[in-house]
Amino acid sequence: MAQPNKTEFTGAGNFTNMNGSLIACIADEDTITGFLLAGVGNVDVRKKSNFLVVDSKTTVKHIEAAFKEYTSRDDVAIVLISQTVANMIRLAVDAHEKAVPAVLEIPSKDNPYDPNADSLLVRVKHIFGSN
Amino acid sequence: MNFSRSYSMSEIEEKCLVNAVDLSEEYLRLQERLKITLKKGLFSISQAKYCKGNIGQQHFNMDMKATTLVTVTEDDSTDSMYSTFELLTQPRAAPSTHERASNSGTAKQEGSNQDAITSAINLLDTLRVREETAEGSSRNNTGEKRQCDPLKWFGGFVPQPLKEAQASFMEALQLVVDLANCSQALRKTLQDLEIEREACT
Repeated sequence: MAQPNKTEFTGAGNFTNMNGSLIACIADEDTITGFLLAGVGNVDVRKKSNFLVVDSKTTVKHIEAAFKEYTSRDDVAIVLISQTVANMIRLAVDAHEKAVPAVLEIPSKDNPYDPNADSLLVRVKHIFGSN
Repeated sequence: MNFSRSYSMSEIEEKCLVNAVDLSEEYLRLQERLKITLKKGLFSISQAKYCKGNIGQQHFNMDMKATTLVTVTEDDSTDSMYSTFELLTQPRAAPSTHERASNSGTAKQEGSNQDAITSAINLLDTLRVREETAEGSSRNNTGEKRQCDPLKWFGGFVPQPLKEAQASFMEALQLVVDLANCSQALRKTLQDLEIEREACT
């Protein structure tokens, strides 16, 4: 069976398996705890992690810096961001156009998922509206 | 001639529009499933907090290494920049014999709605047993700690809701990967649609 063409990331060796990429996560503490239990958490030798816990003390600047860092890393394939947090840095989320990493807005702990706020579905609505 | 050319272009556009509608519907369906799964996982974490006390950042092992990764496969058949993702999970440590016995007893009492979660927990427990037996020998050989199950960060006696939360979030990760693939396909369709419209004008 022919092997699919798998992209090899030649980052700083921040992950244990060269055949896989990381899932980054920006969300509240409980959501992050859950995803870490599922095994997505990674802290490299430079103490850089692939997750950010957002609480009442986290500034918008900090969130935006983390988002830009995760979307520019070679070893991150998917960036998960709670929709509540995404709304805080909406401009930065909308400006992300790269195919990889894929940015996904997920439901937050306190607020339900709103399709009208999802960048991807807003784009779909815009294109359908202009038809 | 111009008439037949414009007819074929709008046919392509129509196909893209239909495809976009189907993918949007799939995207919303997956988001709904993700919402339900995350809600279940977060509820389990709340239950675990009630049993054990505060569960949060103070328990995180800051030497953690990811055991759940994603493979990225590029599509060589087209010139598309969009890729497909696949979840890759490495085996982790399994529980002790005592934990396995208590889990099997608990599993018999649960109804059909909990079967999926219970089977996922039992699978994780089995994997943990294998890694525990291997971990002792590896420590003796290399002197370094192997990557352990994140449940071990929370002490020796982990409440059952925390294991259920782990299973729920692992299920959520598969939905996340499906969502990522769906979003990639949707972005590609939208890009094709925009290209076709620009070609028409």
